[in-house]
Amino acid sequence: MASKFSQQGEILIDHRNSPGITPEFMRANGLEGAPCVGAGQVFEAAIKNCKHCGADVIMNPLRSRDREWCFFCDAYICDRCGLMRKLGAAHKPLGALLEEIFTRYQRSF
Amino acid sequence: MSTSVFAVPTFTSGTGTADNASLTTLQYMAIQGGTSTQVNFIEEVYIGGQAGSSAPVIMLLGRDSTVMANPTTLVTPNTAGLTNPSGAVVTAPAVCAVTATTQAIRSNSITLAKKSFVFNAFGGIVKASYQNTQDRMGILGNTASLGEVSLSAFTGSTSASLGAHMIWETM
Repeated sequence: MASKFSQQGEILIDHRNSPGITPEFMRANGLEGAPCVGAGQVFEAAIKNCKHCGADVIMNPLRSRDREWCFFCDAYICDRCGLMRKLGAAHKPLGALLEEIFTRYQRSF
Repeated sequence: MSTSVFAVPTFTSGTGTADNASLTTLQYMAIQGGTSTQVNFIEEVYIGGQAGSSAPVIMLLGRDSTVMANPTTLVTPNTAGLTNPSGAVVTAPAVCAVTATTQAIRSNSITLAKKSFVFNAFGGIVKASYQNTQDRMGILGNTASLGEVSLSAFTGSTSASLGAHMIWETM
């Protein structure tokens, strides 16, 4: 039976033999939302792809905020697309965009 | 259909390139669709750090708003080929390159997906697997901005040696 956790991918960031990434580096580069894996640590989490743009949606087990969910697509979407949706952007999943471009191309002949 | 792998055993990340700027020769890996209607999906990205000292890097897998023109044929030890020897051979396979006459330019559009891999190239490893997921990063055709993806360092990175591979599936 399918669930929200069906069809997940996986991301692994292995810093067991590395000085890792510091929170200061993440802040300095505006990457606060990305996983910051320090020295000697391993980060392993499930990922799904945003239904609207295709970006990664990391199923970070430590996340306390709600994840963005599109009720039209019945799927997780990334924070950026979630913000666009709240700002009133038109609902256009990636599949529809690809189909639109493909159809436009085919009709060009 | 069949999956293929594009591997670059070692390359230099450079200190990174901002969006909407030409990527630097031999500092990126790009996959461009083989025909104007071909669909490819990224299945896996692996990056292994080879730096000799601490080197935080911000690697981005992003769509290119300017695709490579006249991509240069790969030379050893870089490779691109089927993962399974019995895989279906595509007449016009996706084009893999690390340099071109006109270099790729990573898009700065906020509605085009990027995948960000932040790690330390001194002993660090990143692997992202998308095999089981829906809506994998797709490459449609061979023109901007959906016809090519590139893996390259973003501004703020420390120049480091890396090895990487990308597995993709041609539909």
